[in-house]
Amino acid sequence: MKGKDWFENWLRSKIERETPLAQPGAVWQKIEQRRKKRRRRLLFCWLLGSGLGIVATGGAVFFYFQNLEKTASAAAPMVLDLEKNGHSKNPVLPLLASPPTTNFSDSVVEKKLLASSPTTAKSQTSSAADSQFFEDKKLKINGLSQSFQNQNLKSPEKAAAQFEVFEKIKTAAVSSENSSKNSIENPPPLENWASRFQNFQTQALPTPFYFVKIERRKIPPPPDTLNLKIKINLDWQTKIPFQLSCEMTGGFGTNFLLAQRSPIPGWHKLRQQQERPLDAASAQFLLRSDFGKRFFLGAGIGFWRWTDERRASRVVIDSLVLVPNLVVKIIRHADGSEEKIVDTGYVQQIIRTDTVHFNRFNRFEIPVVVGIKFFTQKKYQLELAAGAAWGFRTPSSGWVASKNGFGATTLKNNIYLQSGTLAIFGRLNLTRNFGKTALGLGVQSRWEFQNMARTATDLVEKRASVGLNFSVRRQF
Amino acid sequence: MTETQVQILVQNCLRRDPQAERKLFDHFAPKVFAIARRFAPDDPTAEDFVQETFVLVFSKLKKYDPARGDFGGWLHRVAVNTCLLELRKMRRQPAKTNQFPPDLPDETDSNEAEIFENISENQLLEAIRSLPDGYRQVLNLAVFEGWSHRKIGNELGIGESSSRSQLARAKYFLKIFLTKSLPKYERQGLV
Repeated sequence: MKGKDWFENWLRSKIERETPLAQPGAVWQKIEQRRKKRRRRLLFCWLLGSGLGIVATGGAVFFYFQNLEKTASAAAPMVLDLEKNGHSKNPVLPLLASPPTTNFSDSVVEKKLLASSPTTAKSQTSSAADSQFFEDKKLKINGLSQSFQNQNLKSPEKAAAQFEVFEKIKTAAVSSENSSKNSIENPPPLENWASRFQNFQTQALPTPFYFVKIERRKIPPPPDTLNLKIKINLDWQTKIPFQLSCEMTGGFGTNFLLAQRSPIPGWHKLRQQQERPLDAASAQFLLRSDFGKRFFLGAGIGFWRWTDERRASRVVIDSLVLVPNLVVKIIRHADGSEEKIVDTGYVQQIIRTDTVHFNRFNRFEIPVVVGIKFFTQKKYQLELAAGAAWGFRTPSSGWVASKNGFGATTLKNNIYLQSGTLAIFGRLNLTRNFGKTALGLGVQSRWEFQNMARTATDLVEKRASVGLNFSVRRQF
Repeated sequence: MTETQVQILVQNCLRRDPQAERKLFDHFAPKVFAIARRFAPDDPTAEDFVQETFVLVFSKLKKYDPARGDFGGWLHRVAVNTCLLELRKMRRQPAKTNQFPPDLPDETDSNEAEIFENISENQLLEAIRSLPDGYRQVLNLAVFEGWSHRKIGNELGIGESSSRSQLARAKYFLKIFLTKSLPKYERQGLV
């Protein structure tokens, strides 16, 4: 054992503890390259992860509102004027297989159909109470049925009476003035456009002539009087330390309307009646650079979505519907007794549908932000940031009503694209630093002060929003 | 360079000061290279190990706690672990123990001390590098790093007894390699 220990001690004594590198500069350059490559890889991973996070967040918000819309659709109130019909033998009929048609000559402009009420058959009545019911509902018997009513229900042969609404129910969804709006939002295709330029004469322009003179001038040296003591510090990059980081912010709050203008006053008024600003959601991804201890500057991409709730009603007087168990005849005998003859007959049904819909206003934009930090030596910092954002793609979507070939009112999802919005935003966040990662929570607001959007309806609107935000930041 | 100066350098490196990083590298690179040379089969590979070590050191520098020891000791551990990791990546399995004769001399000649005095460091390093990877790793960890056989066994994935036998065989073959280059030793019939 003694010999073995001797050998080990000899080995330890022979091997030097330090051996200089043959080319330390070359090794250091390789280390630098490796580290740069590693940083680039980390940056790429962070960008990829953040991008996926934005997509996931956006998708989650989108599906959340989609589900919310469906839920609201299922829970939408269904108001039927004639629902409390105690006189009908068979008050509720199944939905018609064929599309219902309306008797209105005016086109229904815009409706948001989320819940379709079941059709309710209104059978002909045969008592004074029934007559009172129709009076209460402001209905009268049409045509021959008028005499039927005046004769105090003494003409049961006219049992197949038609009813019509005395006054239009205050939905304003049905009006003639709105038909013009419909045509503007859905302009007819431009046809035969080539023929419009038949008389247009082209004129050959002369070949342009350019003369370029290259002149060499000797810049005179500055006079001695201008030889000021100005020292340009070219090492500012090394003097001012900066750190790159990426930041992702998500926010949720409420939105409100700053201004809304439209050249179609009727449609605009209708829209204002129907619309109610609801909420706002946002997501931002910024590449941020912190200069020194106080200031930071960032730019990136952002997404905003505002949602409006739109409520509207539609009244449709349907065509004749075959109804069983209808009192078609009342025979009044000499002794005063009445005999009711029940048979299958035709009646006209009135359907009123209340609908709820959510309009989306999206903003894909490029934000630029500057900020200042307070309490930089503490774990919890306060960050105040403000910036501007240019919306380069701002689509909106909403349901628009129109008439189909059968004359019935249908709804279609009308998506129109705006572009060119300019907004300013600000936020105040309390952040907590965890090494290279920082989490923040705060409030934010956004004002759209310039909307260069031009829609098919020339609608110009400016919106603002206020809400809470949550941010995650990671240094590179 | 005193430990205080090293700590200041480390703090500057944490602030990503390039000059401090270069100073730290210049100061500790010879030590790391000396470790890497013992583990690596050749000098270019040892330089690669140095690169790996410093890339890892700069990326994990925030994990270094001055309260738990000096920076040199921490760097030494990182270097050894990096060498082991890199060797594992090179997929060089430790040599099997039955590849070499099992009989080992129990006693060494009393004249060995005089004989080994003439061996230079490079000759010794060449001899260590000529050992199979498994033997070389066990020899390095046991003799130069002072690890126990249990720890070596856990690190290399071998048994404790296997570590002992590999160390004995490593020393045996090291002696053979060294004495082959010494005519005087051969003449004495020790080989």
